[in-house]
Amino acid sequence: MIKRLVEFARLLRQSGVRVSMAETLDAAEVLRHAQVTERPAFKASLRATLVKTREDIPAFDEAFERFFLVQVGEDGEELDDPCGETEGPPDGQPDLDDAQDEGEQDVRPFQDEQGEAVAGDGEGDPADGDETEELEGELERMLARVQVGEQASEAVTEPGTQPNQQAEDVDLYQELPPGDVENLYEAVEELARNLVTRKSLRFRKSRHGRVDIKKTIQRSFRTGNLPFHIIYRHRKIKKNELVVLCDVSGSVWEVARFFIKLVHEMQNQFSRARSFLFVDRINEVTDEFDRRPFEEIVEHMKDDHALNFFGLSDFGRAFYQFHDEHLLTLSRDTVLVILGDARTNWFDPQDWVLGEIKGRVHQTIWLNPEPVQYWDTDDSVMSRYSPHCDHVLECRNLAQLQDVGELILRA
Amino acid sequence: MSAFTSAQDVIQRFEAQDYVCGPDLATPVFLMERLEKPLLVEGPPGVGKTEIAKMLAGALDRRLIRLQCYEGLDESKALYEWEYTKQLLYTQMLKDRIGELLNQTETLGNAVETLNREDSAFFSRHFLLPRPLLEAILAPEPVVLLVDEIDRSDDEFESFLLEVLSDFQVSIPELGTLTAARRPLVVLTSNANRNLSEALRRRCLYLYINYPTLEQEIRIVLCKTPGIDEDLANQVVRFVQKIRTLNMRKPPSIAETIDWALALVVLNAQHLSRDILSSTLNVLMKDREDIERIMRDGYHDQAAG
Repeated sequence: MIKRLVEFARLLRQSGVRVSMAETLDAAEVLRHAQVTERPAFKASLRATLVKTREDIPAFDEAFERFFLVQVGEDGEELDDPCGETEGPPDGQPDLDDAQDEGEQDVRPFQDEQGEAVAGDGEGDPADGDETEELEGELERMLARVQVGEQASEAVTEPGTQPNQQAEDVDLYQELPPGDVENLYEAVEELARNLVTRKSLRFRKSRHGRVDIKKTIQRSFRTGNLPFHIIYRHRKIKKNELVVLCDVSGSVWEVARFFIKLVHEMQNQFSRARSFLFVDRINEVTDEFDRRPFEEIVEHMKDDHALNFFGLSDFGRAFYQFHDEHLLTLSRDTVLVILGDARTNWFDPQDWVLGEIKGRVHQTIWLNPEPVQYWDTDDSVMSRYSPHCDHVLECRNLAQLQDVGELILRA
Repeated sequence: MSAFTSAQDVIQRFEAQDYVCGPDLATPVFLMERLEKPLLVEGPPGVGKTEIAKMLAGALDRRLIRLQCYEGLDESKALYEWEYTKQLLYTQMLKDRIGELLNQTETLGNAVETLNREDSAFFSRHFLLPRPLLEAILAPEPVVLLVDEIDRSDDEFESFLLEVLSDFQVSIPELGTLTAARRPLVVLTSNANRNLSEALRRRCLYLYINYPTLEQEIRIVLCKTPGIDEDLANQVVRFVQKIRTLNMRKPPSIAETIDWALALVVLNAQHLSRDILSSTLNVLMKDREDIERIMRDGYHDQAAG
């Protein structure tokens, strides 16, 4: 039984569900207590122990159906069938559909077997333990015939870990296959979590301020010189306001989305986080971020007419518009972050606007997704803008993105 | 009351307290009690996550200790604090006694030693202010500990909680290690505001509660709303379920369905009509745009459904 369970766990891992050793042990433990007689209860038991996020539930359901319903020929002839087919699919993904097709000839619902078993036992009115044992035996025999499990275990590959490890070096400034994008999003989430933890440590320290001796003694006069109330000197950490101006035109989109993701994850570290996207006009999306999951926003952005997603970026015009409409909302607590390649398509850069903005905000940070050596070539006017910024950084991989995150949180 | 005998038993005992649930929910609850493992409950707001802990406490006749999480919650708020003021007060009141005690000593060193021996008097349980976590650990009888909205707390609190949950013991430097006499049953709830760590998830059994099915919700409404007509309950739930499919900004929760049903009963409504809807919709929907949207274009097909 345990062996089958382990195989089921492997199948789950293969479908992308993270199942740890400890969880498998839990599941085994659970099966001793659960009424394996009832299929829904059996499933719920396994689900409660093996699946730990909502996202994994569909994968579990599918794997469960596959593993515990499909049976291959009873006399075991299929067991000799070489698993060659499934061993080396070119993309590294185990080809389980094949196995299922084979198996489908003899699909018999688990319930039927189960039902018979229970009915058989029921007559003798056996003790609980007996029933469970009987059942375990039944399960064992049944599972022994499940070839899917066998094949699955042979084709096991360690999924998913590779891309994450190298994520730091992946050049974001290029088209990425969707799978990698997913992984990178996860990496960015992780990154944001780390950054935020570090930040909140600072907050925690500030909560545990040192004893303010002077005030404590002053206060103790009221209580006959006994320091009944201890007064702490709290370090004050002010939360900044974050304003993000992000060029999302085709040329920088690949990087922009990861940066937006990062901002999205770090939002609550600021008193307020406002996000503007622009190509040739700016468009505030702060509300969108509060309302919708990130992936949806990204999709939605492409259809947004106000944004003119496929237009030519015009920094001067976007900055001027920002200056016009939002200058008064900026304050000394504002950290302004601009992401863009500073390629103005030969439009007027209007860099004076940035100068004026700089005077009003706490810090201005410019992130350029292009390699430094390409700055100021062709229509790039980075050097016109850079004097008005406190920091100008290249931002094209996760390591740099992390530096950026730190810089923003420290600002 | 005795422990659960089966998931079915859980369903029955919960139902006795007017909580309708299916085997999907009952099985993990049964298992958590059996295995003494924490249960992590996730799901949209208002589907009865917190209620599970209350039902559990009710069904097993245990005390419920609740720890509400929020940003900035730390050990001193969750675990224990020394009651400094009380300590000082006692020192003051016992001043004479202490003077007496020290009178008999000859040297300063002796005095310190004598005082040292009495040290434990000032750092004893008397002066310990137990917060929910410690309370749950110290309770002589088994309790149900509800850690509500764990996703609101900071990451570092989560890791601290992990430590406590794994062996239910706490080290207090002045007192030593305190271990739970009986392991409390722990229910953690989360609204998924933040991703919880893998480590925490690994240690818990997991339960995701979604909005109930039509039949279940009708039963819930009938259960929780005395005096409601079955037809009306049917209509109400159908309407609510329809709304949930419409991608509202804030979809109505079960609690709101019940509130709405109660409101309709109070108003003596026999069936849903546009007038009644327009005057009571704000009980169900809590977002202006949503209300407008329903009143504008949603009404007809929903009422028909």
